[in-house]
Formats: sequence, C-alpha cells, structure tokens
Amino acid sequence: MIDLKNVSKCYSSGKVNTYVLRKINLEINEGEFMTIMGPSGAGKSTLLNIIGMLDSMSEGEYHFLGESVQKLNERKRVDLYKQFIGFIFQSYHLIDELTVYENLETPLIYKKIKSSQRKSMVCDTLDRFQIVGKKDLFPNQLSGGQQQLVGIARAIIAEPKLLLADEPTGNLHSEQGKEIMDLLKKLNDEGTTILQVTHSEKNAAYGSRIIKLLDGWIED
Amino acid sequence: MLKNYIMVALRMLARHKIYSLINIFGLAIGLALCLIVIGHISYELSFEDFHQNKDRIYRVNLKYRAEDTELYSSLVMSPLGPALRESLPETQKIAVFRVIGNIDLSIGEGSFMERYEAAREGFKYDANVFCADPEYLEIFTLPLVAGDPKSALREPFTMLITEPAAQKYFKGINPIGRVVKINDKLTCRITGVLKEIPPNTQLNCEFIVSYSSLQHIDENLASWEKYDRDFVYMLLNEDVNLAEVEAKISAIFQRHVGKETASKYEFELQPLKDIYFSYYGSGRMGDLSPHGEASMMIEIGVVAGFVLLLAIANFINLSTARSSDRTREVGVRKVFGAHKSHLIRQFIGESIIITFISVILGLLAYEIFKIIIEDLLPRQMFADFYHNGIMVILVIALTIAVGVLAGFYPALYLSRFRPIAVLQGKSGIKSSKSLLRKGLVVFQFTIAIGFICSTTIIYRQINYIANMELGFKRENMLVINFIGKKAAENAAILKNEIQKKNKVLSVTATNDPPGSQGHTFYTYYKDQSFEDSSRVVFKKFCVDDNFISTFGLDVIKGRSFSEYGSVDGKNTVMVTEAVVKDLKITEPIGHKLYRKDGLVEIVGVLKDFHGTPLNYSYRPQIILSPEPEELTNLVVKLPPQDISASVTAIKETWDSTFPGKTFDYAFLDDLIESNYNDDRGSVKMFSVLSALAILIACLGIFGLVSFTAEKKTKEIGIRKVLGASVPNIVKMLSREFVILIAISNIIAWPLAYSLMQSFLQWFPFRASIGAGTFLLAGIMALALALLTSGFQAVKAAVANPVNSLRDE
Repeated sequence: MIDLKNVSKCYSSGKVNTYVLRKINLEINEGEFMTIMGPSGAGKSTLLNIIGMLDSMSEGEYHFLGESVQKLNERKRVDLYKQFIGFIFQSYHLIDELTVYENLETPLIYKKIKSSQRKSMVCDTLDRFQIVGKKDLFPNQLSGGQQQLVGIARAIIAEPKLLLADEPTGNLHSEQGKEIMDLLKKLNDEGTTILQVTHSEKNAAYGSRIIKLLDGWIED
Repeated sequence: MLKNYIMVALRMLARHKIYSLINIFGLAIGLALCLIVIGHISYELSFEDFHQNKDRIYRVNLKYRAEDTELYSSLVMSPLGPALRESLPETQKIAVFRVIGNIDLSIGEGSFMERYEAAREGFKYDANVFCADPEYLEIFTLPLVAGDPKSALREPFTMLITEPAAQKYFKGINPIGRVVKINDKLTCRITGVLKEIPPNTQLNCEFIVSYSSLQHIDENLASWEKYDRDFVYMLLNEDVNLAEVEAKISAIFQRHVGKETASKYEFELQPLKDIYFSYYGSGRMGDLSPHGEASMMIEIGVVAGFVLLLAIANFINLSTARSSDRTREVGVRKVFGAHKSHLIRQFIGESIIITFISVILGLLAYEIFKIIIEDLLPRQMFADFYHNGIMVILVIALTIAVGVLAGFYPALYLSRFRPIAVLQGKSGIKSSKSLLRKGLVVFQFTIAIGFICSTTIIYRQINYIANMELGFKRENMLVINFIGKKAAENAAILKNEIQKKNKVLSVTATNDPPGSQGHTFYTYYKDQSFEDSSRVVFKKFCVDDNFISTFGLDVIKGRSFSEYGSVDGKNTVMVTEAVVKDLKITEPIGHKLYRKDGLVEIVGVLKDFHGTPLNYSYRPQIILSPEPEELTNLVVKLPPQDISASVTAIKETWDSTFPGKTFDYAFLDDLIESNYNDDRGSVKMFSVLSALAILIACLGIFGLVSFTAEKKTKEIGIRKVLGASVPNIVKMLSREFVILIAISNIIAWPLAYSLMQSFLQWFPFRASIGAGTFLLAGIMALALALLTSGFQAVKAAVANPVNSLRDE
C-alpha cells in the first residue's frame, strides 16, 4: 500500500541543511497496525506527515497504492489523500465553530457527497461511536476523550483505507487513552490500515509492527 | 456546503463581537452613504420613465445663429408644431404645449396666488398651469380618472385638473364642471381629472388648459417671428433617422419663413430621456424644471465611495490581523480535503454575508435618512428602494462588489496557510502582512485628515464671503416682492401707503434688492457703431430716488437722482467706479452710453458696492437707472427697535391696500444669506462625512489595538513583571499609530491644499488657507486616534500580570 524509497527531508536555513529524515525505506501493507516510535525530534511526525501527503519530501520516491505521489500536483494530491486517508491529531483539531455533527460532516462535504447520503453517514457514525446525544454540542463543551472520539469518528467517516494517528492519546489521561486505543484496535480488526506515532510502549503494543526513529534514521 | 459556511460565518460573528461590530458598523455607515447616493442616482435616472412611449418621444430644440448672437432654446415658434403635424409623415403624434407664468388663480370665492418661478436652479415646482393640445395626452402617459380622454383639451376654455390639485383647491367637492379663472384673462371649465402625476417628471403641473383657449388671448399664436413660445414634443415611428427628420423640419420651416431667415435657424431632436440631465452647461433657455446635475452626483458618489473604502480597509485589516483565529480551521479543512478554492469561496462568502448584514442596516439608515431629509428638500430626490428596479439592481451589485473587494485579500491570505505548519502551531506563513496593514491605516487617516482640512477650508471660505462688507446697508430691510402684470403698479401703491401710514426709516422700490440673485444684466455700447468691440455689460438696478439713501451708498462724483421723481428719466444713469474704470474715461459726468433704443448719460458716480452675490462671480460694474415700470420690489428700512411690531404694522397696511391677498415678505439679510445656502449645505455634508470618516478610521484603530493587546497579553505581563510602568506599556502599544498618523498628515496636507486651491478658484474673494487649518486637522486626528488606542492600551496595561502569565 505504501512504499517509501530513500525518502529524505531536510530544511535549509542559510547554507546549512538540516536533515530531519534520512534515506527512509519503508513498506506498509494493507491491514497493518504500525507504530512509529522514537524520542522527540527524531522525525516521527514529519514521516507521518509525508505519508499523509501534508508535507513534501526533499528526496526519494513515495508510492501510494501504486500512485507516484511526488509526481502529483497539489490538487491531485489533495484528491488522493481525501479519498484514502484519515487523520487523527494529538490535540484533536476539531473546528470550534462547528457542532459535533457538522465537524463529522465536513470531510464528506469536501468529497462532494450528496446531502441526504451525508446525513445518513453522519448518523450511522454518531450511532457507532455512541455520541448521538452530543451531536449538537460544540467541541469546547466536550471532555478531551470525547473530543478525540469525535476526532476519530471524523477521520473514519469517509471510510479511509489508511488512518494516520499522531499521538492520539497524548493529551488524554490513561483511562480515556485506553478506550481510544481499544477503538483503534477494533478499527484495525475491521480492516483499516493504521499508522500511529507514539511515545508510549503500552500503545505500541496494540500494533502489529514497530519501527524506531532516531535522528532521522530508522533504527534496525 | 453553503449552510456549513453560513453557520461558521454567523458563529464567528457571534463569538468575536467587537470585531464583528466594528466591521458591520463601519461597513453599514459606508454602505448607507453609498445607498443614499445610489438612491439619489436611481431616482434621477428614473425621470420620465413612466411614459410608455418614452423611447420614441423627442423634443424639438432650436438653435439660432446671427452675427453677434447665438441662442439655444427648448422653446420654438407657436406655428411650428401644427405645421409639422400636417407635413411630417414620420411622426405619429405631436404635442404643442406651454407653461403659463405669473399665475393668479381664482376659483369660486377664494383667490389663490401661485408663483411660477421660471426654471431657476432646479428645485421649485411652481410650474402649475400647462397649456396643451389634445395629443399631449396621447404622447405622454397621463391617464384620466374622471372625464373623457377623447374629448379632453379639444374645446377652448376647458381644462383638466390633477387629483392632488383637485384635493387642494376643491377639498373633496367634485371639480368637474367648475370654473377657474387664470390671471383674470382665461376662464376655463374643468372637464376631467388627471391621475396624480408621478413626481419624477418635468411635466408636473396642477392644471392643463386646452391649447385652443389661447387663440383668444395670445396674438402671437400664428407668428413665426417669436421663437420662445411653445414646447413641441413628437412621438416618432420606430427606426426613423433623426438627422433626416431634423432636415425635414428645417425644410418645412423654410417654406414658411423664407430661405434667408431659415438659414439662421437649426432644429434638433432631443430624446425625452436625455432632457433631464442635459440642462446645466448647455446654455439652453426655457427648459422645464427640475434638472438633474450629473457632475454633482459624481462628486458625492466619489466622496461616499471613499468612506466606504475606509470601512473596507478596516475589514481587510481586522480580518488579516485576526487570521490566527482562523488558521487552525484552515488547516483542518485542508487536511480533510478542502482545496484552496473551497477556502477562498468560503471566506469571500463570509465577507459577503457581513456585507449583506451591513446592507440591511444601511437600508434601514437610508429609510431613516429619507424620512428626515424629505421635509427639508424642495422636491423628492431619493428613490423608494422597494419600487425602483434600478436601485434594487445597484444595491445587489454593490453588496457583491463590496463583499468580494473586502473579502478577496483576506481570503487569499488565509487560504495560503499550509496545513501541516498550522496544525503544529506555527502560523504557517511568512509575515508580510503588517506592511499592508500599516498602508491601509495610513490610507484611512489620509482620507480622514483630508476631509477635515477640506471641510474647515470650505467653512472658512463661506463665512468669509458671507460676512464681507458689501458696501451697502443690509440690516433690518424688509423686502416685498410683487409679480404679475400689475407688479410695479401695486408696488408703487403700497410704497405710497407705507410712507403715509407706517413709521419706517425709508421705503425704496427696485427691480432687484442688491445682494440677491437677480440676473438683470444690460448691454451698452461705447459709441453708436454698435460693434462688438464697443460693447459693455453692466448689472442694472432700476431704482427710485430713495435707493441711494436707503442703502447708504456713497456718491463720490456728480449728483444723485433728483429728489422729485419724474425729473430724471430713463436716460440718466449713475454708475459705480468700476464702470468708470472699465470705460477708461477721466470725466464720467456727462459721458454718454448707447443702446439701440436710445442713449443714457451718466450723472453721478458711486463708490463700488457688491450688488451681486459673492459666490462665483464678482460684478462691481453696476449701473443705476430710474425706470418706474421695472420697480417690482419694495425694500422697507425698519427702525431697529421692535422689528416684529413694524412688520405687523406693515402687514396691516398691506391688508387694507390689497384685501384678501397673501402678505409675503423676506428680510434682505436672509435673502443675501440664502445665496450661500448651497455652500452651507456642502459644508454640512462634508462635516458629516469627515466625522464618519474619522469615526471609521478610529474604529479600525480600536480593533487593531485591542487585537495587538490581546496577542501581547503575555508580553505585557512579562514586561510588567520586569518593571515596566503603565505609561511604558501604553506607549509601546500606541507608538506605531502615532507614527502612521504623522505619515498620513504629511500625505494629506498637500493633497487637501491643492484640492482646495482649485475649489477656491471659483470664488472672486478667497479666504487665505493658513497652516493652522492643517495643523488643527492633524492634531485632531492624532488626538482621536490616541484616545481610541489609548483606551484599549490602558486596559491592557493595568491588567494584573499574574492573570496573564498564570494560564500557561
């Protein structure tokens, strides 16, 4: 599904190039639950963002479902990731001005799904995550765990093949964190490929494979 | 999608109340001004729109050219219309009509004095009686509510009355069959009632008398010599060639007057819809009023547009300044599949929503403005939004234009954010925005300061000329104006009575009171050659013996007119020094000037005085001539004590002299002051606009400072912990604006100076433009800006740093 070959990312400030990622080779198959670990500044999030096509790479090749990502223009890239990828963030990143219902609806709107179908998809998802009662609340009326639940619901509502989670439990206390991880596990069992970044060994244990990053290199 | 955007927009507005208020309020002010202009323009453009045939109606104008005269007139010879009707196949209908002036109406027992002022400066609606042939009703859309339209205006001594006039004069009694007497000459029977004529037409009247009635009272009806008699409007077939028709009119004219005379005349067909706006500057005589003035509409439109631009600048400034509030939303939307174009559409949509809300408020303001202004204006000048298609379209266009203009840059700016950087908490964009923001603030204050300077200068100029020493006495002078054929006769009668019965200082009769807007100019020749080179034009006052003493004029050479009336005839005149200078003569007394109808001899020289208004022309060349038949104004000099008692006493004299007639008078001071009404109106308008401009600019600063203070809460906290005082912090937050306003001053001053220089050029007497005006405007803008920014800055500075630092 994902095939990275010699991917590097560097930032140049003046004459100095700082490498964040170096020659990453990585293959992820459909149905995997993979974890990226490593200390702060190791390049975990950058790698996740490159895979999510939110960030560009400096060198190397990236094939997503056989499509060569580095050759796509921005518009095509957006169309590709909005088709197949869902994102979950550490700080949830819900839109404050929208209700739970409207937050869930947003990705469907950009996928040009018809209003009636959107309605049933949002209702199904609310039901599945057992947050029907909260659909008219705004994010700031929810607890962190509930917000992340909505964040996940929003990420999977368009049924992506790949779910990218950047420290999904980082802002939650352990009880809530466990619930979220259980949910991700369940989604993986149902067939969604998941790639998570985490510091926590406990969370990593949910995954089927772990890669460790240090100073931009993959540690063997 | 749309619903989603609208919801977000409305919730953003509700959440950030101050910013929303500043934006909406500012835009609403700017838009209200533009709506007022649009309302006026729409109304003016709607003139004559209600005529179903409006696109096929033309007026015949006449141009006359002889050796030394050129003349352009909308009136033509009486027999021309009927002649065209007979022999011009391209026309379907021809209406011949005229306006009857100096109206004295008698209906039944009562008497109504109605004054008709010839098309003067546009505003008055006193052209009450028209005289028209039957085709008039067929060309123009003027339906009858009572009476038979087929027979209307066919019989001599019949007339139509409009609904409002019927109400006004007959108060609910059926007017059909009633008799109205006009100027003691024409007695007509009312045969029909016209539906109320819309106000947006030059053809507004109260009565239409049948044209055939004139046969018995107008001896010139068949004369081809008198060119200023009647209006001729034609309804032409579609797709006629106007030039051909004009040529045919000339040919028909030639058949009646011969080749030689005809060669001096030219005829022009003017489309009905063009007439209203083509008066000013055309030099055309005889037009009906009112007129539209396109240049003034453009001027106020530009000014209102500037105020709107100020509000738009606020919008752009606040939106970009506040962009950090939106960055996360932009990032999230992009991650979940939004293209840049989606976001641009969303943000422009938001600004259109804000504009829309502002337009609603603006329309509300427009309605209120209309209610207030309507009573102050002599005629309707503003369109009714709900009934004027032009205005509705213009308002919708304005909403979209302003929405896009205000939203475009912020939309572009916000949609540029890179999602990844945004979501990691960086701003995701390189900061170039502050230069734009500073530029816009400078722009706003430049306009505001420019407005203040200009207003002050105009105000000072008007005061300067209004208070100038005129060279004659103007206090406590009561002016009584007479009109109609017996005007001079009646004036003389009243003068006599007042001299007998009232305790007044003096009474004098004249054609125009000095300083008022009379337009009596006379041509004389220096010799009997009557060539152009020897021609001189003077303002002429026709006076009686008391004129010079009443107005306190100085006779510096020769003598005054003789004490006992009839000794001096028409051929003795007095002149001002300026005339002597003009004529380049050393011995004025006994000098002769020539007219084609005789000569005049100078018997005395007066010190120069300002006999004409000082707004736009200076004509000290004045000639005084005793001509009893022209003396239609009485000027009564009242004793300074107890003016109102004197007026009452004079009214009693009037009532006993002319029982039943209305006593109408004015004070000379007021008449002179009224010359400056238009200018004072402009001063008022500019004062309001300046105030609004500075208000909007200050609102913008208020928003920007509160935003900066909010963003710098932490910095302020740290600085205070490190020992900064409140004044230090206020200075830090306000410094930037002081610099920006200083720059604005430097730009605004020369702009306002050169603009006002060209404005003052119109005036023969100019107040000097002092540096004080500019300094004052600058200081005022600075003070107001400091006040608004200081308020927010102090609020931020006195906050306890513990609170701002704790929540991290």
